[in-house]
Amino acid sequence: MESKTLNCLLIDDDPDDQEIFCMALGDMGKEVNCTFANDGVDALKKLSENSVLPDFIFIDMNMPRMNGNECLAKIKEENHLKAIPVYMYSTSADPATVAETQRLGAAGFIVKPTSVSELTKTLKFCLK
Amino acid sequence: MAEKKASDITKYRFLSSRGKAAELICRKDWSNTSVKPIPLWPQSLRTTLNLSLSLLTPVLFLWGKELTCFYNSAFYELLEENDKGILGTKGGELLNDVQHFKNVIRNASSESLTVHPFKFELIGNRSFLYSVSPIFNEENEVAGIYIHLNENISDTKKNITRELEESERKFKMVADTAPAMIWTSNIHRSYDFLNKGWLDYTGRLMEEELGQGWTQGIHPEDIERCADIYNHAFDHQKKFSMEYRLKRADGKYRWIADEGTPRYSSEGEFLGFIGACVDIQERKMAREELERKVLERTSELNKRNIELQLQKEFADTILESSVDVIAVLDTELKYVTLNRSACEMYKVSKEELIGKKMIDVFPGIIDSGMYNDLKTALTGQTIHNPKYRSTVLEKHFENFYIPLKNRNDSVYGVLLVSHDNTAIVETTIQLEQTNRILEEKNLALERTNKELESFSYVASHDLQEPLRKIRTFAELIQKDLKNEKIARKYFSKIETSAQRMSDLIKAVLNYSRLSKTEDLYADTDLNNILMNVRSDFELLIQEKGAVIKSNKLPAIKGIPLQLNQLFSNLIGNSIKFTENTPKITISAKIVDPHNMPAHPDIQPEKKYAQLVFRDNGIGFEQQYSDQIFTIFKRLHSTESYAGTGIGLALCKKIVENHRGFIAVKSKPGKGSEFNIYLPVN
Repeated sequence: MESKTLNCLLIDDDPDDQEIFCMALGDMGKEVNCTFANDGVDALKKLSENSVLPDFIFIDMNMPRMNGNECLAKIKEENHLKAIPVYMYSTSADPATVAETQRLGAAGFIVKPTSVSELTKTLKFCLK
Repeated sequence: MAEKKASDITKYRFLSSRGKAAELICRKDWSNTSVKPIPLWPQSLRTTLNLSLSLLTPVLFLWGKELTCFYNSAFYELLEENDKGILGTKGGELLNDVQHFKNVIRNASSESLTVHPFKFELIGNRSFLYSVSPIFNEENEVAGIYIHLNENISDTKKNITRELEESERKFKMVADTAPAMIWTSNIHRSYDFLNKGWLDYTGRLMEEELGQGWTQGIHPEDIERCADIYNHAFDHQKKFSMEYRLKRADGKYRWIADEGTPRYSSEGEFLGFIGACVDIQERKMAREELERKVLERTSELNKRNIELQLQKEFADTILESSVDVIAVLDTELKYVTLNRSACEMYKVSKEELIGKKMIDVFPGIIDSGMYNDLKTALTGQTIHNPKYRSTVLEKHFENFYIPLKNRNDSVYGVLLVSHDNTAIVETTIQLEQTNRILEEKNLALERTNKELESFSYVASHDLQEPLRKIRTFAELIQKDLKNEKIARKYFSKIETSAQRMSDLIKAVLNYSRLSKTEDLYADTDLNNILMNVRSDFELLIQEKGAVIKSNKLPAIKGIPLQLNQLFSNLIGNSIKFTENTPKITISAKIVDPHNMPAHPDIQPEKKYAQLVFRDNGIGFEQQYSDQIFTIFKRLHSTESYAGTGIGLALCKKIVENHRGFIAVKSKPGKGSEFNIYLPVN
């Protein structure tokens, strides 16, 4: 069980948030590989190029070029990607926005917390 | 008795000449007459009698005050059977024309051998030559009249009499065989003949009808009227015709038409009347029935007339009391009638319009929809035009054009009903205007709402983001306070986040402060605005070696501060989003709305100043051309290009505040071109 290394993709244009996400994953106590994409366009490019698909995808809501929902919809359109659980990841959770992500097939909505430990707890729950 | 009488004859020698007359005189009891018993008779009477009785020719004489009748035997022979008893009776009662004889007495003169048309009815209406002479008594007074019928008339006269009798006989025969009812009367107005037709009709005998007897059969209600007509005709010897009811043999009264004509002898002497009657009962009844029907029909027509009059008055009342304009026009569109409202609306009297052609009175009508509608209605089609505007009256109407058809279904005119809708239409127009304004205000409110939503989004999201980071980094520093390197790194990040938050708050303030207050509007020379912005960016321009070119810009009515911000944001973006030496050109021209790209907010009556900002910056995909004007929308990460995501949203809001609009054309790596249209004045 423990032997399998999880692969994780975070799509976020903010380098600070990428760093914080990394720290939180590192505190989980198990090996998780994390790759990053700077926006939706970048992410879809990477997903089509890489032979190994992530086990989980996390998408920031507000990004230039292609926002979180657009990116989610594209992923769910792709047959080889649509089974991957996708968690939305944003500073605020407007109920209408959350409902829209659920409709599009998101596995959950994570509000970016103010501490790394809190994020670690949330990720543990998500990556079970 | 006979012996006694015989002795009387012998006793009175003057009666002794014998004969039937003498015998009758002797026998008659004279005591109750005016001449008294025979022994008292005067000599003059005795002598006259003696002489008369001795004559073989017929003699009649009338004696005394009462004209007592005496005759001789020859006269007696002439008398009809019934009239032989006239001896001693009053002559006046016997002779129709007694006046004639009285004249003889009065004048004491003789009339000898006069052929008189007078007929002695007593002797079968036969005509005689006779002489009349007065008889004088002992006192030399006229005591009687002596009428001597002369038998010695010549053969010619006898023949004439015979011919006359013959023609009379023939007349009666013809009259009796004629189908009509014929009568004759004498100059004394007495009927002296009625034909078989009459007698058969009345079922009475000739004797009953003669004289005045025939009048017994006339209906009592008709007698007086008929007598008047008959007597009047006699008096004037004129034709007459009359109708009366006559009792038929079966006892029923039936209407008779009787026409009488005066008749004359060959010498032109008036003889009386002849008349012919026909039964007109059926004709009369038919005529009365007809008259009754005519009367009935007339009364019905009168009744109907009154009804029609009432209907007309009723219709007129409705027509006149209608507030709608009502007019009837014929097939040539001449006015047939119109109501009071029409006169008031057209400001003319009925007399000025009726009979006149509409196009003669209102020449402008020929170009109007009304004229066409009227023409169409004349083809039999009902037209309803709910929105008709009269340019002549400057009013709005709802018009009905109804073809008027006769029983053959052919159109003989048009009924025009116009309802004045002006008040409603004008109110509706005002309401529509108010509605439009309200709709515009609603749209503006919707926009404001959306902006407010964006604002709340800012509060919940973009402003939280740097704050969240500050808290996270503070926590990380606290965990490892002794590690100076880590602390410095996170303090620097905290500094950056705080700066970003400060920028955001300033931008939000800027955005929310944008006002449209009219007071802020002023004549603004855009060249001055550009000059100010250039000086604001002076350092940056120098640093990046940016080139800004522009032709002469117009002056517009605007809010200088906001226009300054607009120029500043656009020029700032062009300098910021570029990897080359920034080259910016700004051009301006005045354009008509129809030369501009379609946009819902264009005011077609205005002219616009078109401002073009072109740069050689990084550009973007055209598909994002709408998104870039949305608040907090960034096409680039904050890492690549600094920015709050408010600048272009602000530009759009400023342009819209000035009732203009903004559009952008761009290609990645090829620069962008912003087109701004601002209304001039």
